[in-house]
Amino acid sequence: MKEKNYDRLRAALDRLPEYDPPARSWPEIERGLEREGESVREPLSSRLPTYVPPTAVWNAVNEGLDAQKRVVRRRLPRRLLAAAAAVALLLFAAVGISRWTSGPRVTYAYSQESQPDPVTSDWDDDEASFQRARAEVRQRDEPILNNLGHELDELNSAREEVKAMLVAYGESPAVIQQLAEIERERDDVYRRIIVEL
Amino acid sequence: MIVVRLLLPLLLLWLLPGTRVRAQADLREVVTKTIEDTYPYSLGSELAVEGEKAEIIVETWAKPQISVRVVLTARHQRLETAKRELENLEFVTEVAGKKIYLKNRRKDEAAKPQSELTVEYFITLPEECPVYLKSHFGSATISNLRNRLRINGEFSVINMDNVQGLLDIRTRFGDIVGEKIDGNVVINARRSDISLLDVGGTFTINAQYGDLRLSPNPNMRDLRINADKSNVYIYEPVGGEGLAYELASNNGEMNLPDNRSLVELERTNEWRRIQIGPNSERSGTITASVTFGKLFLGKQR
Repeated sequence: MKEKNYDRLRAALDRLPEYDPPARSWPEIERGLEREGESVREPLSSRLPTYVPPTAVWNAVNEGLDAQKRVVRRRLPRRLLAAAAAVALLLFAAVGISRWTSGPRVTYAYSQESQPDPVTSDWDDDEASFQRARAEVRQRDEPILNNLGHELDELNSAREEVKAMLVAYGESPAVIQQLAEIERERDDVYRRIIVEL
Repeated sequence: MIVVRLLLPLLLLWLLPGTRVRAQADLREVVTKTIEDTYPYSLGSELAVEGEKAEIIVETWAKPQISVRVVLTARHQRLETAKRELENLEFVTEVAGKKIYLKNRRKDEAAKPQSELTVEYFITLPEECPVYLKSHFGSATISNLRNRLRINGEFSVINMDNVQGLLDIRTRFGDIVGEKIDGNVVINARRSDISLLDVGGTFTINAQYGDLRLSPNPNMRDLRINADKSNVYIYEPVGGEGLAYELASNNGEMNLPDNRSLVELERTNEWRRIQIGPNSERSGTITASVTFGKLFLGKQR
């Protein structure tokens, strides 16, 4: 609202007298406020009277709490742990099976069979003749004979390998047959050497 | 007469133990140790086998697994000796990533067994599994493989049946017998006979000291033979009119069919080179060069 006679009102107000409050008013107000603040900070319960409960009551409360704790510790965590362990074991087994094989399976068996005819080891009987022929070839040192000599050396080397196998794995018919074949080839080379000599 | 009747059973009873002893002497004990294992197969898996005096048999199946059965055997008249000497044989496996490595060896290499010791591998795997075989004495038998096969053999017979893909075979003192082989094949053979039936694709054969009997099929695109001190027999396939031949003989003998028109390219006392053109559109070429050996070209029966 707009004051119509503002100047006159202002002048009248300015002319009003001023008074100070009595000196004791302010300390009394201050004390009153302090009392009010103390009553707000202190809870009403503190002003209530307190009583100590009977010992039997506390013991009953304690026993009840312990029983509750025991129930929780005994049942729930153990079940959870057992289930977790079972799941972990199954997972571990599944991963193991998928990643690795179960390992080799080893079995033994025993039987009998007919004894084969014994082999007469006479394959070294003619060795001196071969050595003499080889020495002669070296002495002559001719191209055709040298070629035959190299052939003989290769067959001699193969023969030693076959004989070593007979020692390492025992006398087997297949290996003896291989030795016989090499012997035939050696004989053939030997004859050709003799013809050339 | 009564005396004879009484004595005859006694005589038979007396002879019986002797017969049993002789029968036992004719027998020998066989102790066998079998090791079985299975490995998972996936793309990139490879199998390598190093066999010593071992029969290696490789077959295929549709399962994504590699099955291995190794049979170690000792034969001797005395069971104890066979059992003891069998334990000197060792089977070793190693798996490095997707590579499976199998090997047999002797624990004590200085041992001289009285028993006859043998080793057998029975391997079954997917047909696309690459295989590497190293065989020192023994044999290798492979069938139905489709990918890559490498064989390094010494004193080992190599048998192949229905094998395709990349084949690299080296052999010394070990014959090769093959049937139904198709692919890119390289064979280096020394002191080994080679017999190949119904083979096609691309073949390169280098041979010294051996007999080669080759029966290509009409799918043979390129067959190159270099043979030294070897006899080579090539049998033309039925329906192989598209095959062309270029044959050379050095210090050897050449036997050719009468019904084919050939072109002499070179001819001296020691050296002869001829060419036989295809009777229809060219489907493949067979080139053979033989030194100090026979070269025979004939029809398949």
